[in-house]
Amino acid sequence: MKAGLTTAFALLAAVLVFAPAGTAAAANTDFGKVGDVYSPSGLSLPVTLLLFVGIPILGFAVAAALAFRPSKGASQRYRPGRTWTHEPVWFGDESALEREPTRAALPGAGGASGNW
Amino acid sequence: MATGEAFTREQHERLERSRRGAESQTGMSFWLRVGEIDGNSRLQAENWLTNLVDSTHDEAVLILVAPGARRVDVMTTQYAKRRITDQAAGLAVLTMTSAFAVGDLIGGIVNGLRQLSDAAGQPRAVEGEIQLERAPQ
Repeated sequence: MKAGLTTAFALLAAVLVFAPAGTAAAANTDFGKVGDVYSPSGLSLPVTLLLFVGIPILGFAVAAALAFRPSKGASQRYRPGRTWTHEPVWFGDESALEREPTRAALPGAGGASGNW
Repeated sequence: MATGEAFTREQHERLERSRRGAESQTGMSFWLRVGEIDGNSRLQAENWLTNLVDSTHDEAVLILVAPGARRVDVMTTQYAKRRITDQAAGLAVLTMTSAFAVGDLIGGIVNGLRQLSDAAGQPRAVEGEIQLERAPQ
């Protein structure tokens, strides 16, 4: 009883799925045409590879490039303990240092120093 | 860390504006250098400041920040020292190092400069200016 019911449902499903296609194909007089919706030609191997391998790889490559691109902001950020490889930067006119030194010492100079 | 520009344009402008602000507030000369120093930074600071000033009577301050060596030096000339005492300079250094220790290089320098210029106070009035102010009274 149960098996019969299952078979009946399967048949119904098959008819529902294939009947429209069958009638449409029957109505189609131009049967020899390749690439038609109802008689598609198989994808060639290079095209298959391109579609199902190439495009996903391209997608992953784009995502990876975005994720691992060198971050502009992070490299600028100073973190204690890291080496400082930038060129020295002067604020204020330091062109006087390029001239020949005229004095050897600065008597009475003061100030302070510190480490962190 | 990548070589190249140490600061973005905005950071550079902020530091330069801060330095100029300190100069205009105090009438003193301020120099700031951010970069590594070979050898004794204290000697190097004195050597640079010696040659940066036009005269030994100038009131000038040089700040050296070596982020890699984690060292900061503030050097004042003899006449600048009258306005920025070694103790005041030491406090400014403390302000800077406490900001540097948490990675805030720009904020530390800006606050250090502000503290130094606050310690120095207003520029001394020039004799001519006083006469001009008193003349109408």
